[in-house]
Amino acid sequence: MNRARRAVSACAAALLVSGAASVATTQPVAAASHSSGFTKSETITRTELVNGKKQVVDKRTVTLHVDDTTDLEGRQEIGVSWSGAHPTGGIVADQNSIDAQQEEYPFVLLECRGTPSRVTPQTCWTQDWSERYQDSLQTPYPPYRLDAYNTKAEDAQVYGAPKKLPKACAYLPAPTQHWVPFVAANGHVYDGGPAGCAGQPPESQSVGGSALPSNETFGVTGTNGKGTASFDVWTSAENASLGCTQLVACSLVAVPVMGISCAAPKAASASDVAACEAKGAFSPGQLAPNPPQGRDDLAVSGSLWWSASNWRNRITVPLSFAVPSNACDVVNSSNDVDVYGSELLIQATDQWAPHFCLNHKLFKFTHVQTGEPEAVNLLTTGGAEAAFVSDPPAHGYGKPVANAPVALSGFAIGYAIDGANGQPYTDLRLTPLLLAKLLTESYPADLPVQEEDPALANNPLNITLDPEFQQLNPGITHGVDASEAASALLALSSDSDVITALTTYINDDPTARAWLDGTPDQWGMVVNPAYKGIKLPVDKWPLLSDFEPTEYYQSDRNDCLKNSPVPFLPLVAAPLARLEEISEALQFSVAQSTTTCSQIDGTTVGEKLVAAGRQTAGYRFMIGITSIADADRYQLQTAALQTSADHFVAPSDDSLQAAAKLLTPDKAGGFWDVPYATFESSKSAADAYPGTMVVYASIPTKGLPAQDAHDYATLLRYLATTGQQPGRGVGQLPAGYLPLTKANGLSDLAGYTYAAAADVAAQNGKVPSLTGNAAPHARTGGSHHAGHAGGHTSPSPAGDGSSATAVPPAVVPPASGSTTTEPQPAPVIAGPPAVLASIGRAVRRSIGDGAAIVAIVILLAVAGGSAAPAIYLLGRRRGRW
Amino acid sequence: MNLRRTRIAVLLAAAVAVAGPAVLGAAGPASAADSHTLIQGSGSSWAANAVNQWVADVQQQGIQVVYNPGGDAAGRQDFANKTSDFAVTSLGYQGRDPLTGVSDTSQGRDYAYLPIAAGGTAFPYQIKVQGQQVRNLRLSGETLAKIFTNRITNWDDPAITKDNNGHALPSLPIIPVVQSEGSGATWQLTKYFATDYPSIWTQGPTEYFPRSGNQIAQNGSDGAMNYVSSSEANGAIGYVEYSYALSQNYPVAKLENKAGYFTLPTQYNVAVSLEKAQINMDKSSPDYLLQTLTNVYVDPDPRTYPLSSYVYEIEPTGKYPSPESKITPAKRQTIADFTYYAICQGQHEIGPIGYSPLPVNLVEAGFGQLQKLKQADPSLDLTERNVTTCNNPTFVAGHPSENYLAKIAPLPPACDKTGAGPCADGVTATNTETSNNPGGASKGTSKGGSSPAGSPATSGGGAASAPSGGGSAVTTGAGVVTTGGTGAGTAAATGGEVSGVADQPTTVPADLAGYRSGHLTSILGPLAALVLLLVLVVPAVMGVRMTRRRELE
Repeated sequence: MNRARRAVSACAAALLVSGAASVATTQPVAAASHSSGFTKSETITRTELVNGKKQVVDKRTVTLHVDDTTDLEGRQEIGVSWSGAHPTGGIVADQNSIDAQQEEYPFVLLECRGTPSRVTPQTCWTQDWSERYQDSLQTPYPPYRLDAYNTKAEDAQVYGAPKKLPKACAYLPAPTQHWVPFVAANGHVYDGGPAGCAGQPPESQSVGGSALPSNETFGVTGTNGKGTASFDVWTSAENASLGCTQLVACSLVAVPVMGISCAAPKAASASDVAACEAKGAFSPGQLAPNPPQGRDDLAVSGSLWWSASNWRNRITVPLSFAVPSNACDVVNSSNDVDVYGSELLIQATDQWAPHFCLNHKLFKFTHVQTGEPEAVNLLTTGGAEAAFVSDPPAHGYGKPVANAPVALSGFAIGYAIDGANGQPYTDLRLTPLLLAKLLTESYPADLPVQEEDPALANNPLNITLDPEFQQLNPGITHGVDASEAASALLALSSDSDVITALTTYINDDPTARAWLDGTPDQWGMVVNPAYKGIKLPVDKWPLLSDFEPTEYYQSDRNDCLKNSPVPFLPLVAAPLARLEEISEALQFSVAQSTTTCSQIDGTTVGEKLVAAGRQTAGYRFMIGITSIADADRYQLQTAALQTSADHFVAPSDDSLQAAAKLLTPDKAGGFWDVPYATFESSKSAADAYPGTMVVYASIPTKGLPAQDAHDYATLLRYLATTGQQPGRGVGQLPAGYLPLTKANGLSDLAGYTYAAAADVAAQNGKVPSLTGNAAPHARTGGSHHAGHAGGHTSPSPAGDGSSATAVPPAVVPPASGSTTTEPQPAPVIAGPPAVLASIGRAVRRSIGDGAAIVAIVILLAVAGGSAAPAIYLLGRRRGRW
Repeated sequence: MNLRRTRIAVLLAAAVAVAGPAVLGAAGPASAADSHTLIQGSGSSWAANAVNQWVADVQQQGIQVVYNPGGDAAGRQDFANKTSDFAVTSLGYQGRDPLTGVSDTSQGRDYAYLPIAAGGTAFPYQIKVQGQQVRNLRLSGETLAKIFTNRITNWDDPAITKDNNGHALPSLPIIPVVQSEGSGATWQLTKYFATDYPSIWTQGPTEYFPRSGNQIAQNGSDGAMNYVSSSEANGAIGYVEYSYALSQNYPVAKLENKAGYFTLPTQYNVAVSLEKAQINMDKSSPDYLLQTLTNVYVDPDPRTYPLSSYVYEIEPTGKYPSPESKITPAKRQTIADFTYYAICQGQHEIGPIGYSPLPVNLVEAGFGQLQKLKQADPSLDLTERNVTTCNNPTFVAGHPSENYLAKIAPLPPACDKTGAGPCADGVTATNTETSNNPGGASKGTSKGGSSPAGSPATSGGGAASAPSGGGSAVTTGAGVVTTGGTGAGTAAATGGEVSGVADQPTTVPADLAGYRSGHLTSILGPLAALVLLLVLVVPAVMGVRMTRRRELE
């Protein structure tokens, strides 16, 4: 039952006409210009022999831009864009698949070991032997042997074969062969060959495949010569055979396939030369049939990326890698300090945690990722000692708990949408009403629903056919073929404060609210009656549609739904359990709607509905909830959300800062309120990002075991101070969070957290009061709480008897490169954190500094009777430098 | 090009037949396994919430794992096809599925089983009475067997009324929700039915649920859970690992055990139950460490949750590069270190989210299985990867076969007994501490609006949590199973989203002694565990700690 997929490709083919024909608008580079970006232009040619003379038949000036090339991390997506290349034809769905090599004139992107001056095809990663081996049975002069730029050796009938052919290869190769072995980082040579008979790296697809989509990319160039791709950078952690690390140089190699420039030896027949000079079986922009039928012209296909003609046209981009922050020991028996909750913090806790594990005097800090409501339940009932939440329970936890702010971030609406020109769309704007429409299953998504459900009969099939969406977002195809993905917001199935924030934003908008209550929008679209009048906010988005298109189900078109009928639109919504899964689905544009029936051997045993799968490049449409920090980490596009009538605000440091000014302390609740209603009503809030959320560490100030209390206090002090220092290093705050600093108007929050640490440490049952803690200074500038006056006033005890006698926090970490000390209630070791930070990704310390620190560490460690860890640290450090 | 493609297919077949991994024979083994590289596993969605947390944790150690929870059967298949580096499954290779005949072998790939977590298969359900979700349903195994064989098809069935001590539900068709893929949860369920209720479940155990009648098939634990909680599914009941219900704060049925108590799959109850699991301790058996749960089903301990089980990792034990073509030294080191984390440090965090930590004897046996990886590759580094570096809450010093959680597990309240109750929502031994509390209902406190503090009973709360008669107990009126209009003790009627029908009855447990004592253990438990831990770790580490205290305080 592949009906859905067949329908998709048919639609895609139909769409092609409009897609390819439409005039391409200028496409801005996806990411803002970056200091570590790379741009280079090359003029490249293809030649033919005309009357025995070389003549240029195709000449183009290709410009390549890569938005980030330094301090890279494993699995980081870097934005690549180009212009001036030959348009691609015979396009397949998945640009990272083995089939994609058969595209004609692809823009090939490869990660290769070696610096730009030394890189060769032998060290470039491909997932399959077929991308580095060719042979020919029919003619001794296939195009790659007629390459005018071949060396003499390459002109041989058999080139690159292993000296001794392994037994497994016996009888396999055809008489004419070209081998491109892969040389692994450890020096081992994998010859590959037909069916990989002479050996392939263990990461190869046919040896077992990789869990990640491979990163070699047969990028699609549009009819305007432009194209973009997100390239997934791998370190040795992802691919040991490729082996890129901070010490082993690697490059991104772009090979704009122009086709073979042909020579014509006498022995070659006219048809050999014609095959070599072929210009392509597909027209630019044309999709390959599904399944591919091998109609491509080899001479211009991606399979020959390594040929001399194509390789000489390469543009090579040096890449440098960060020292990984994943430096925790496998064996570590120090105290476990677990905090359950918020997925908004994942990127931050990934960087914070190593700070603690690397210091053997500290503890193991683990962020157990759950929805916030589950964490609240666990904390309330004693199942967890601490929680990361954004929406602390209004009536508390039934015990004294400090809600200490640790991050300002929020949710984002991420998307991967290709515009009508086939290029990634980067300016998506959404209103609360559009989000409500997506969430309430009010787009029919598929024709059977629209035809059979009278309640939705007059609604647009999906969001791209909704006039409201079209007016806000010009340049997106009306009626995309990914209709199901364009009918629902990929959301969470589990309880989450993110859903609370999102539904609060929707609920506070009068237009969206009226629509939810039954008022049609100005074009007549109505809410799915199952959701009419729904009370918001909620922390779990309910799936309420119960409509089953019975005619469709009773037909033989979907066996799963025929045998086990369930409401259709919840299958389209197909929410996922974790934000991270949504981020991944957006990153690789994997459609999640589970409406495709999959069977084993055509029997009903084990038949199941499965997700639609990866979308076709150039025709993607994915939209889902993610976090600002995940979006930053995975280079996801994020939508600008409507504030006041004509204002749309995307997440950024500026828009988070504007939102920070609106935070109001809720004295009774003991937390800061994000006044969502204000975002949509107040002019002063027009530039504030409406997805802003505060994340708190909720930690009891009574009942914790002494050691744990002590460790949680240490954690809070760190997170309130050094942990707010932005950067990619160990212990620092990654992008996607607005540091809780005075400069951002957030010193109150950091100060409160610092004060709370004292109560947590003392387990005195007190919670620092927000009394006397004025609204953030941006509003009143009046009486103040901790952190004001340069961040050096003590947290106010304010007559509540709080034991907040802690040393004032250095809320604003020193801006210079000087060693940052961790404020502690007592004399404390400054060394370890500094050393540890140097293991981090952003090494910015002079050797002299480091050496002194190491000396201190050794002294202290020996004095403390723990020479072994110190020596270990030292060894580790030496190893790294 | 057509020709090229066809030839590739032929060549591939030939290569598989002729070559196999021997091709790689020329490859010298890589140098010492000092680095990690990305590994991938697939299998159980039952275990996925635990595995995913470990995957997130170990990133900080430079360990990259991709886990695809496509079902136990698919996991074993992927492992057999060498498209994965490890599998996670509730059951071992069967040869063939007993019911469907689907082939199920490792296809010659060398492997060993290794337990990685325990848990309970729970029954989330949706029964709305007057718009309110019932939250304190209880069911016997027999009733469930009849529900999943379509013999009981309505919630007003007398058997269900009897399970709930005479409290009848209104007429509402039952929608049994089954998992469509080859699933370990389905296997555990049908094995239980086939063993204890062979006259009702006559088909024998299987991973592939033979869907029929009104049953709805959904893919994976996520799919089943999403369906049960969707609005149209009023009357639905499914089976998933307990963690899936907890993450949605969704009610699960209490399951009757042989002692006549209805219990939840809490980490404590699961720990108690699995003390009766028969583990294959024959090291020469291919099924070494696999479980037989027959005695768990009939365990007379009142704390037993009968559908408790272990879940296993399948690790590759063949030598590289032949016969194991995929597991390079770096991969094997990564598998070893990921597994070490999972069975050691990874155990303490999974109890609260719906699993149960492994007892020490199985952790030790797991370390024994890790040694098999070292036998395959002597360069593997297993230094210090042993029981002493674990922080596992189940350990009892000097008594490796005992499970501390089982020792401190509270007895169920009297209202959970057959012929008594039913308990109000939240009145029971719950997962997160050894006392009763209204944890499940506490969500209402932040959302309901009408709820006062709802101050839940916590370990510090002591006897305050004992439900008083006031405001909670009414006798049967309409004969509806109560919906927990009250939390325990201090929580007053919430009127919130999950609250009960105010005028419906709640029976007050008469005897609270069992879990009052639980309060004490809940306070002492963690302390005792801490003490034990301190005794266990090497003195040097203690020295470090004490030094730190001196410096900081």
